Amino acid sequence: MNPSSLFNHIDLIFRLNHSLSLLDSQGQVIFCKAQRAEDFGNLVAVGQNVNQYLKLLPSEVAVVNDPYSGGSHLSCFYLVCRFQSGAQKQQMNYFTLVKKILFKPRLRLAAHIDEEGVRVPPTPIGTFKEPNLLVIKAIAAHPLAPAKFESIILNEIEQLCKDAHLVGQLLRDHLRESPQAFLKDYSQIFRQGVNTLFDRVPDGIAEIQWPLGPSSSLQLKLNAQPKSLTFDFSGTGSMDEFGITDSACLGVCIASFLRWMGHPLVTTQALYDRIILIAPKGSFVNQSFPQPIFRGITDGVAYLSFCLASTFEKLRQPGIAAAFSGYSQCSFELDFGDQVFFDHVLPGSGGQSQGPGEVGAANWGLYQLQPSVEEIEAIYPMRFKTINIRKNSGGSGVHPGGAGQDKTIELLRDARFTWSFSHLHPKLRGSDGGRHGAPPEVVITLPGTKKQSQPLSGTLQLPVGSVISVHSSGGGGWGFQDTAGN
Amino acid sequence: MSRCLSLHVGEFFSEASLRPASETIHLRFANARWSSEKILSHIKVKFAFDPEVLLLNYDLKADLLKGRTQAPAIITNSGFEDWLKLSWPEPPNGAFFDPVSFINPDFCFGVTQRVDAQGHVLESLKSEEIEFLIAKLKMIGCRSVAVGLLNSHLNNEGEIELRNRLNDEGFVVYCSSDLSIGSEKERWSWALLSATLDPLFDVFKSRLDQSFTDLGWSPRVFIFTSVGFKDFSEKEARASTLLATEHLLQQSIESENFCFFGVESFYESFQHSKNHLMAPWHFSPKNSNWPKVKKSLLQPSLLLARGPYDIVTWTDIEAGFEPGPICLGKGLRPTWLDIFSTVASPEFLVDLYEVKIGDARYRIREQLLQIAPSEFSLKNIHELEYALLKESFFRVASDRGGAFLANIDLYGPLAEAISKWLKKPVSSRSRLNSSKVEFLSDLLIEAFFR
Repeated sequence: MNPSSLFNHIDLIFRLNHSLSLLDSQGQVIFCKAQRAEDFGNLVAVGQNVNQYLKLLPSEVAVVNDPYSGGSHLSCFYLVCRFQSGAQKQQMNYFTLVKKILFKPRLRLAAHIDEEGVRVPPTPIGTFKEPNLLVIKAIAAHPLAPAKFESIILNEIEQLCKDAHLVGQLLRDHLRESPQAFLKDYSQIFRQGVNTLFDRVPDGIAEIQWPLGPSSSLQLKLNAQPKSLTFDFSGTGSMDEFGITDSACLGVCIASFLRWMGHPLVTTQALYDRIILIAPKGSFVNQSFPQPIFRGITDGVAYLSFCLASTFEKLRQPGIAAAFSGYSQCSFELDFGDQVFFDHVLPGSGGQSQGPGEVGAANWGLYQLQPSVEEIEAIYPMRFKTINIRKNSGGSGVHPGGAGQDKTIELLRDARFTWSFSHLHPKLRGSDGGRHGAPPEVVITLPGTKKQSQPLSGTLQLPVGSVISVHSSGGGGWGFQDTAGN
Repeated sequence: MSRCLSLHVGEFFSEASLRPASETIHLRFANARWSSEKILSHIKVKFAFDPEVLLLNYDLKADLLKGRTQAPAIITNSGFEDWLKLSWPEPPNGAFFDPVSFINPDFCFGVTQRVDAQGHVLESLKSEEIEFLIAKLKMIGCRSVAVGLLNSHLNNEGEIELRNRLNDEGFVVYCSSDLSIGSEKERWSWALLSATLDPLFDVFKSRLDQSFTDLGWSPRVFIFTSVGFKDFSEKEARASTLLATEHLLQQSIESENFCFFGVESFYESFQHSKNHLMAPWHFSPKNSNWPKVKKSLLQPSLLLARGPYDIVTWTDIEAGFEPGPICLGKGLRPTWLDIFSTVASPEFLVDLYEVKIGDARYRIREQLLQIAPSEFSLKNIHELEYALLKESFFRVASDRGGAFLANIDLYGPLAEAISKWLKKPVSSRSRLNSSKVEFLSDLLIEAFFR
């Protein structure tokens, strides 16, 4: 059996799954596929932590969402299972499958991680055939647990069992003769593939410094060597507003690298072996318990990935300056008491020397799908007045910044409105003479009053008839263009 | 039985069947050399056949429509002009048609009208706004118009009013409420597709009419759609032709678990899941007739390439086809059909492509060696071909866990060659009289007389 065909087969099996990892008995990554940037770090860290602390037996399943045990934000749970590929109970035949399950996010302006939701450290929840309902019900009973937790988790365990069975069969076919030799060949193939990938990376050092606030900055020294890529964040400060964990940071570094190389978001251990991350404890890129995480995983990841993209470009073209991309996901929530509506409004990306920015570019947005207006209006007591591209929000330039988006909603019942935007700079800076992009904005019109612009985050009890307008930022423009368009 | 001619027009090939005739006649033509008009003329000359009924099935790929037809205008509620564009995610390769690609942002217009989620009219259309809109549509020279208003499935007064007014001015209007199910995203996309297809079908129709005049024919013409045969001049059915072949196979093949290996497309039966509910062309007007057949992940012109980390892998991209399919060594990169033809050379394909299989095989292997790992040479490249083919069949029914070999019936012109390779018998279980399903044009006739 050809080792590369194992990779292609696994890729096919999980064609409709976007975030999962498969680890061998040593915790080495056989396959990892990411939908969001941080997944590359979280999916592997979760699997390795569960293996290290829980020592699952074949067919046993664990659940975890704790960001400080490798997880993402608290609405994102990971199911981890151990399975056996062959009849022989050799250690070599044990594998770990990790799948991400995203529940509907809740936006809570919290000062402590435990105020953001229920936090579950690695916890065994029984076997494929007999899930431990007591534990699952206990998690579901937490006041901050996601809605329908029990039924969704039970369905996912069933699916995980099918997936593990399929992958187990596949591995059995491939590892039949000599598992050790096969896995050695497998990693050798990917080492060669990563070598080819690194051959295309210009050697050198690129340094950037982007502001994180009035008194701290994000400092990155990217050192590209033929055999390694070092992301050194030494000197990076912290932010009061948000930060991300080191595992999420590793994921963003890997995803940004792959995206910059035009490579699919899928990888194996061979790439992890080449990435070196230096993330000072307590900084923006390695925040500590009990800092909350939600804004870090939404806006922080988008900001870091923008900073990384501009650093990579600097490696290729040292003189280049990137126009700012919008990074705030403009998350907001309407709590009607018995129902909660969550949404976000995606920003535009910055113009670049190669071309204009993208409109409402999903820069690692939480959701890719936009739900139907009619379906939302049929469920929630609210009415959309507009959902459009935010005109003239992208900075002008030879290559203009991508526009943001507008969403305007009228409340048909009293609701508590919570919103959280990020805006680290007075303007979303253009580059090389390009103009700034428009910053994000939230405007509320109470019945019988004038429009009132609001601060970047907050929570308000609003009466029926209130109109909420959420405007995401546009990207900065690239290149000077005079008023005549020249 | 009426003298019946059926014509299945695909991307690479067209198929024609005649009935009744002195002998069973099925013909297959390469589109690069044979236009539909030329095929009709050939049938008249060679078989002296004068059909009373002409049955048509168009298997159009949506990406082909781009550039062939002018983008239609779209009218939506004011404030939602960009919604259709924003609401659709980028479709995965080969999975769905992408309605966004048919939108010209300069042709999107909003009108002040709103219906709430209970179907009550909150704001009615304003006649002066409609007049202004008509002036703008005339100015841009757009004849086809898609109208999509929010909650029109509950109350379509606004859409009907717009249609009536625009019809008076000579515009062809497709309303989203013609589709009775789905949210605004599906309904608006359906209206958009209908409006996009309309001018193209007008061209097809005028060419056919011209051919009939030249040949002295006056057949009744029907087109196959997701709701069965419709009169070719019936405009409302045009968007429902996009999945007509899938419906045709579903109607014609008895097995619930099958693969159809056609000369230019492979299909498979499937169970619906939420992943398949997004495409509006699964619908048809006033009908919820969803096919349980879809194009397979494996296609004959699927390209092979170096994928992630330089691994040789099947892509989701199909090879080009103008002029003619770029298969059997004609292209720069090997396709599935290329690799398959090196291990099993289906005779009729060789005739159809007019290639010498020996030369083609040499070229294909040269191409494969260019992307193969360094340990492969002409001496052992067959090992890689074998592995790649084996892997390719895993794509069939992969969303059913790749349970391909165990329990799927095989049909279609390539089924026999594939079954030999897989050592699996071709199924003869079919609603058809014939034991083999070789020609889609045959299925059309069977469906018509059933």
